[in-house]
Amino acid sequence: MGYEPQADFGTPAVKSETTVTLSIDGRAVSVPAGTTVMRAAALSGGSIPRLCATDSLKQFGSCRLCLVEIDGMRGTPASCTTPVGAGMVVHTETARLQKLRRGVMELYISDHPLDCLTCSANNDCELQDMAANVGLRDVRYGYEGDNHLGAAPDVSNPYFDFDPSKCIVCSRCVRACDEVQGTFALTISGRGFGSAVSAGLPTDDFMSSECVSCGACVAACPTATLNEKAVKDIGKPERSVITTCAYCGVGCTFRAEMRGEQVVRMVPWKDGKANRGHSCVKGRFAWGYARHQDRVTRPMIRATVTEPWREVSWEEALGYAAGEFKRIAAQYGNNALGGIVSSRCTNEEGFLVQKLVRAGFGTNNVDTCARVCHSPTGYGLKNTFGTSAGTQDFDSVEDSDVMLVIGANPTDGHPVFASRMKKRLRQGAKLIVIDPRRTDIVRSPHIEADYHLPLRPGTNVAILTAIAHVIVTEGLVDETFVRERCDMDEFRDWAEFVSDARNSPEFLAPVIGVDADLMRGAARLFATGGNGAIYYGLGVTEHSQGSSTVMAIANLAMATGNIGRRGVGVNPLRGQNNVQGACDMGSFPHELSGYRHVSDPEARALFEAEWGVRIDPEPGLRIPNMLDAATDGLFKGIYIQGEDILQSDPDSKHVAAGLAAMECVIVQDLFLNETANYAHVFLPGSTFLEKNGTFTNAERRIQLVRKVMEPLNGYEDWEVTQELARAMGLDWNYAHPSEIMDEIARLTPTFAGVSFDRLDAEGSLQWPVNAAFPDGAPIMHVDGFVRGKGRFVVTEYIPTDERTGPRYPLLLTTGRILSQYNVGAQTRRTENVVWHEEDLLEIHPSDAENRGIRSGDWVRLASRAGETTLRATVTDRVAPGVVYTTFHHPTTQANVVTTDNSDWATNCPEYKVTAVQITPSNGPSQWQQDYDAQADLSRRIAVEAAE
Amino acid sequence: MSGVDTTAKLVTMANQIARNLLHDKDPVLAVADHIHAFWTVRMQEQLFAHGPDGLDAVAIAALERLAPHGG
Repeated sequence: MGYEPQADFGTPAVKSETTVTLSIDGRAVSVPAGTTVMRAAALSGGSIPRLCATDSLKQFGSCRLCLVEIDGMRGTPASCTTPVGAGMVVHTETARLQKLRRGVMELYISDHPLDCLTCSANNDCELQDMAANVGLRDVRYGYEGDNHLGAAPDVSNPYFDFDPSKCIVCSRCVRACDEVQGTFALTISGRGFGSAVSAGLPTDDFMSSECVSCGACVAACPTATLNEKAVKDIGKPERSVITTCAYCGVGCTFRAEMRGEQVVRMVPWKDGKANRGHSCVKGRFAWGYARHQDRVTRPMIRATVTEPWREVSWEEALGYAAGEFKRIAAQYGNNALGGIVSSRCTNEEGFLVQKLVRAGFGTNNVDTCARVCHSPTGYGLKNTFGTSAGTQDFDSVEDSDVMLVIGANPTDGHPVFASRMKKRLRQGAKLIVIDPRRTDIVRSPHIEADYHLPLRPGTNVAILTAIAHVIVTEGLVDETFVRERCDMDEFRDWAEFVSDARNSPEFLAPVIGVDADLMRGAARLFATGGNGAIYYGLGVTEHSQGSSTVMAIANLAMATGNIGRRGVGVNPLRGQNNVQGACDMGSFPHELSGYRHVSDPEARALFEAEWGVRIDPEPGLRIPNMLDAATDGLFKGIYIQGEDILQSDPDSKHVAAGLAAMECVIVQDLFLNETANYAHVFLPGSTFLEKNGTFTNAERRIQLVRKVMEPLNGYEDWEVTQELARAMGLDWNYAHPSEIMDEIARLTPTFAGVSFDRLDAEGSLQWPVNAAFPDGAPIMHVDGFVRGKGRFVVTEYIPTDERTGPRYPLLLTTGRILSQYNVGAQTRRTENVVWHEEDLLEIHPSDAENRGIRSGDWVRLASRAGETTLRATVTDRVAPGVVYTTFHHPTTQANVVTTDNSDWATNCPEYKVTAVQITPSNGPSQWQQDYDAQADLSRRIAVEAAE
Repeated sequence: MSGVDTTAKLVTMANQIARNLLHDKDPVLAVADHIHAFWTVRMQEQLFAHGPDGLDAVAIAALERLAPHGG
């Protein structure tokens, strides 16, 4: 498709049951009551000139360009602020209006540079369009008087420039920052002629301001004032392709705006149902890694990891890999092999990897990185509700009255959805935050949590039980819901358990570290505040009782009747872009696609008939068990697609030992990642811009990923897996990922109605999509739980084995920040490093003072598992006794410190609780030095030319 | 080497499962079902070979229930 700007109806859509019919330029138009005249005209195919209006923002009425004449009304009202009326007769093009508009435009242009031909927004500028639209031919005022043409540009942001000489002060950027993003970083300073867009204080530029670089202001700007640097460098896009972001689990859809094979910019797609036209700094701007010089595009092999890599042909690499895996299977048995599915790759690619493991390797030893993030969600929600997924769509938040956010940092981890949460909070919804840190959502412009419960890390189950205690003992249970929808025997057992005095806030307060009155207040608010929605993240799952916490959340939602309609529900905020999809695709060692256990003979029979092989009825190894088996000499070969377990998984030393003990490690990735230091075969991967397929986001929404450029390595990732399968003797002949989805649909009841054709036509589908839900299910468990009756589960608080003591007196918890993503492999190779060039250790002022540590000092972070060094930042965001860091940088190797403690049900690692000590340091740890030396040795590539 | 004792890990895992399923109507069955559903046969056999040392009573009972399967 050629390049066309996205449709803009001028003012936002209005929801109304009532329809109003009016006449616009002689055309009869019917629109919902409350719609503006401007929007009604646009919907009927007309176009009223405008500058300050855009349909992503509330009407503002400042530019005076959109004036119309309405029979029976005096003057020339602004169409953007005038609602339609029944029988109204509107004229949008009259001689009077044309004269008025021309006069307005003349004033704008009199203080605007006349450099259209050399302007980066030439032919993509609303000001230019409007000047042409109103027929402006002359500016009578000259340019000799005061003007802004010499105003200096602000080029401080790495992705966009602000050129005030081109600004018409329409306030669209300021309003976008307020209304869409909710950061309130921009303002109009000064008065009258001196009015100017300002990022914070007069001394601030965009980089030093509170701007989070979401790009909403750039998208909203009608001129070249806020413009992407890439547009200046490359030129105006000439075509666009709708695709899905490859960062977090929100699943934003974007228009990849292209010029030839180059991405010029990624612009949030206004029709995207997950993001509704918004974006964050990662999806909007941080795609430069796709062309980064570190990309490895030729396959490589080596016999040992101490040798340099040797570039070889695809045939040789795949033949070597297949030969090694066949040798290992013959020598040690099929169960000495396994594979890891990537949550960053597509559903189709994940499905093929698990199929290769089960049908080609002949084992169920397949796992995915959900093991280390949301595997407790799958376990906990399946046990209580019957489905391993969240219950709502994102739109549901618009009807929430109380949000309970626990163990999630949405403004950093899921920023686009956080903006929607903040919008609802500004409308008056209440907020309860349960988190050891004072995350940004606790207090930000125009938002303040009603309750922030800064619990001690590791006490999630205790605090949820204490809240349940209040709800049950104070008679706040939704008895009708429970009686109709839940198993009553199990409810009674649970109610008796939580009512016990030992589960009261007062009894548990010393354990939790939160005042009992605060817990009681939060419980009452959640139970009585209207529609209550629970949002949670890895601060819930990555604990030794992660699964119990998920079930405690489900208990709370059921007890208060907050399931089965808009505005409520249990909402896991998924970490990676396709972690939901990877789980759906049968990537766990005990489940086939659609969460059917491998011991289920009917499910197995389906796959055996389709694939023509026997499926092992016994579960396979999870990732940590694979590593244990490797160090025991029982597990010898692994195929890892798009994961970096050496950096992302806990207890790095053990991961390294496990990988080092294997005889053939195949890594398929964009870069020589940390895991590849222990690999024998490297198969180059492709980025999301270079492939077709689907991702499934946190709301179970399946969306198309469309190829916008050819893969640098020559193949999409699914093609590489197919070639590996063929090299191992499997007769696979998929011509396109749509054929893989067709197979998924044949084998997976919840995907039965999904196809690429439908996704292309409808934009997205939320599973289940089948005979019972032909158009998908935005909200689940509406008329009843998938498992029948909702199941209350008694969740006894069991303290983690990880304890503080004299040697390790502080608790470390880890997480992520806005500008970086997961192990940072992608975002570290973009300009996002300007916001976060290293992992920092957050430490409370009192803990810092006791140790003589100041912000910027190097410190040694040591646990029972290992130690590393990094720089400290002293802040009261963390409570005394708690320290925090991120894991985005391999030079820090934060996971050398984390332990192998894990969730009791799923082995999800306990990243969030590690007992540590912090001491001043003056250099890298021995582990870091050894690690760097090994990495340097391992990454050598032999200089001889490949064939 | 990492120095990790896999059998000791399995003992820890089994005890964790037992302690978290203690409130089930039939904890022994629940623990046995959980291990059967999520552990490989080899992991179960490793624990059988290890015996009851260090295991909670419920975990021991669950393993006894699973033993014929592992054998």
